[in-house]
Amino acid sequence: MNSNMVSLDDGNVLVPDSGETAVRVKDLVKTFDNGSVTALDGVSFSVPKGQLLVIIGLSGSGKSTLLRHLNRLHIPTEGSVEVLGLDVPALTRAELRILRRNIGFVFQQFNIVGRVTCIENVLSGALGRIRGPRIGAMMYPKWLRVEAFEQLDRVGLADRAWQRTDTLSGGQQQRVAIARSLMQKPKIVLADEPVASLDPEISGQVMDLLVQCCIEDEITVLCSLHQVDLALGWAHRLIGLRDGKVVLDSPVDESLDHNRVMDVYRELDPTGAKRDEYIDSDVDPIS
Amino acid sequence: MSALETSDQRTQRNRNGERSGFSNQVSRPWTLQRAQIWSVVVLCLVAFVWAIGRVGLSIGGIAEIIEGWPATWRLLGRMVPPFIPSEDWDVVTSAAFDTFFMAFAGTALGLILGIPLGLLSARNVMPWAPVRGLAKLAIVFSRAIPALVFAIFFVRIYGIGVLPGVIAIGIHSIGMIGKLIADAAEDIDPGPREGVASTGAGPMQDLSTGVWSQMVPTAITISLYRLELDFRSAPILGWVGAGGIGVLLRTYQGSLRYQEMLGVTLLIVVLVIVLEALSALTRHALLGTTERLSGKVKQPKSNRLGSGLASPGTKIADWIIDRSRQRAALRNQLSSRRLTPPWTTERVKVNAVSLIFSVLLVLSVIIPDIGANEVITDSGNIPEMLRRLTPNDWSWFTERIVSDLIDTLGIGIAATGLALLFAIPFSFLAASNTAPGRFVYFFSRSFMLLVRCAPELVVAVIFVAAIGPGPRAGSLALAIALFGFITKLFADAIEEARQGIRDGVTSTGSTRLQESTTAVLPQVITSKISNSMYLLDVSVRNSAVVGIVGGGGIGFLMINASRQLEWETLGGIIFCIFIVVYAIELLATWVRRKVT
Ligand SMILES: Nc1ncnc2c1ncn2[C@@H]1O[C@H](COP(=O)(O)OP(=O)(O)OP(=O)(O)O)[C@@H](O)[C@H]1O
Ligand SMILES: [Mg+2]
Repeated sequence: MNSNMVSLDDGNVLVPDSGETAVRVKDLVKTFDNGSVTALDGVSFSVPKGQLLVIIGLSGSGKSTLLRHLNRLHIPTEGSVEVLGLDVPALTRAELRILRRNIGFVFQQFNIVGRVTCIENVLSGALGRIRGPRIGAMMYPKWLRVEAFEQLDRVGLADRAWQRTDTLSGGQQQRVAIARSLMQKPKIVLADEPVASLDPEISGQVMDLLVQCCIEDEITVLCSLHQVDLALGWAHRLIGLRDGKVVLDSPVDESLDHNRVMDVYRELDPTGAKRDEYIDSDVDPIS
Repeated sequence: MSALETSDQRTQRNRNGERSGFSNQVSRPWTLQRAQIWSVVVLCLVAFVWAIGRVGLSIGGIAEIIEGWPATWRLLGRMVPPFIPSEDWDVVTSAAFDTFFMAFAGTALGLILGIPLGLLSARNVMPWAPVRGLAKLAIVFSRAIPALVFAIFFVRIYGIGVLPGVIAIGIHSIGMIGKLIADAAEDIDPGPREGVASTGAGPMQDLSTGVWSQMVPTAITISLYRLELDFRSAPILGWVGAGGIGVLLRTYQGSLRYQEMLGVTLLIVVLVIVLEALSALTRHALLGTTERLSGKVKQPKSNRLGSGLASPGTKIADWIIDRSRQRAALRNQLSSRRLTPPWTTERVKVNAVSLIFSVLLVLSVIIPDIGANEVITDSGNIPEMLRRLTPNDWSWFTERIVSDLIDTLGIGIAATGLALLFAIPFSFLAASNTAPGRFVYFFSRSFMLLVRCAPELVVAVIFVAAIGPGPRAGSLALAIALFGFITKLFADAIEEARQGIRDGVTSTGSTRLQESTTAVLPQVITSKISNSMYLLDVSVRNSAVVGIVGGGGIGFLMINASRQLEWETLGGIIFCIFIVVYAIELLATWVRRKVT
């Protein structure tokens, strides 16, 4: 089903037109350690192109695991994952490269190489478009360097281009990581708690920057976040995960009940199953 | 809740040999691991006592040395004053240059082969186990066989000259470089790699951008360290015909010209000191740039020229500067950024060092007349040679070989033990935080550095001349060289020991000695033991070749077999050396894992 990819002369590859759907996940199950840990337990949803989707949920609810399935950093135990019309688990290595080139991934821990310059990190976003290994920024062609500057400029760090990345502040490093993702010219950006290790003020700025760039480039965004308030400002849609299951899936508009959102974060299971357990037992959960 | 223990747990604890109450806190529980460590310590002591007797350094042996002291003294007298006759200066300088370039080119070869091999043997780079296994095998093999043995082999292939030396150094260097590179690769942070992979990078791009770019500082450290070691092992290779200054050492020794011999030895020591200093400077220049967090970029100063005296020269200069400004402005309009890295001091340094090293590399191919055509014409003989070296039966395996192998082990163990015996107390004098005074510290430190710079086999040549050939001379010479290494390792470890903990003990009103034993020793003891084990395998490897210069052990039979073209015996001996060194290395690794 993936044979209809079209390769262009300049190495750019067109992914087949997948209609209006960017991501389609069906009955996705993921277990770790030979089934002893269930991280995802039958997750299904689909995301139309251009949507800004935020995934919320407690720590350990499976947000990262879900996002990492979309560019095959994880392989599903069961169920199907379809991104840009491609059956992700079935892709060959070469096809996977093409898919990953079209998906930008922003990590919570930035995942940039600290000891090289910012521009080199941004340039590494273009690796999927060129052939051969690269060591040092000067090994990339000039037109890519110009492009990298443009992306750095968008995140406001053009003047830091030749500085070592680990000399930047956390917020600046995450902006470099965002520039690297944009450098890929992606169709989808996956962001896994992109601002979780930043202070609230900077979090807002970095998040705004990411969303703004994605809207400009008409990129579909799937972002996991802990700060619901930060999400409500711009998200089109909210998905809540709990113990690997979808417990909330709702557009963000007046009809969205704030309590329902906060329920995703409550100690107690909103479906009530565990609530009864607590009430029945005499154990004081605090001691 | 968890503070209370169930009766099940208590029986479990009793079964482990722990008694309840306080008594189990007064003496440490006798665990299996502790039992193993102690049996290793006892075994080491027994081995040391045995080895001392075997190499003739027991009380009787020392008495013999004292008895023979007048003769030794006379021989030593014949070595001073050291000098090199002026008619030999030409030869000596060119041999010194040869040695330098031989070591340099050898290390370069080792890096070229060792880095890919190391990466191939790293679990997180090469997912395919058989390839990893093969790479590891090559690494282990090249580490276990001393450079001098490789030199004997390659001299047979390429004839006398620098080329076999370069190849011998290169092949032996692969082992250490490969192992350290593999460790470094397995240590990298997987996060950035994942970041690179999710941009759609291919396997080679992942390797360069995701893996290698994180490893650069470690790779530089490894390369410079290896270069230092090769500078130390290169001078002796000439002894077996592999070019360089060792040839002269052999000639002078052969014709009993002891003054010249000592002269060349001192020259070697001076050379090694100079090269070590250069390597330290390079490391500072390079790692200063890669490790230090350098945030600021220097603004280029605007060029100002006196406008009063407008000579034609300044006018031209003005015009050129104007033009370049205009062009720069134009460029800024176009892209508004500079597309090449700015010339910071760091970049200048890195580029200067790279330039110097490239020039040296080119020179090291040109100056010693390596003979690149020989590589092509004679390499075809290697398979034939390997076939000849493979023994068909066990006739080579004589009693003499077994007893010499045991001698070799004895030399290695005795040398390590003696070196440790003297180095442990001495290292406290050579560490700035435990030395009793500035003068003692300075004196011990310089003594240690000086000793460290004398290559062990060169020292062995002197000892053989002074107290006669045999394992006694070999083990003393190796012990002296090891002493320098161990002292340096330990002194540095002591200096690293955390000041804060020491202060805690000082404030209880202890003496300086108590301070050293209570606060410093426990912190460094594990690293000491594990380093000594590492030294044991270095030392056994050296003891296998010290016989080549007359220091006892298997080396003598090996060089004999090589001279008399007894190929099967030579091959058999090399195989034995490999087995012994590898066995010691496995043992050392096992002990290190237990201790740390
Ligand atoms: N590689 C792995 N091996 C074993 N278990 C894993 C692995 N990765 C994730 N898990 C488990 O899967 C579950 C979901 O983890 P995940 O990282 O997706 O949570 P998360 O929602 O992203 O949490 P956080 O907000 O803390 O990032 C957890 O129970 C975790 O322990
Ligand atoms: Mg997570």
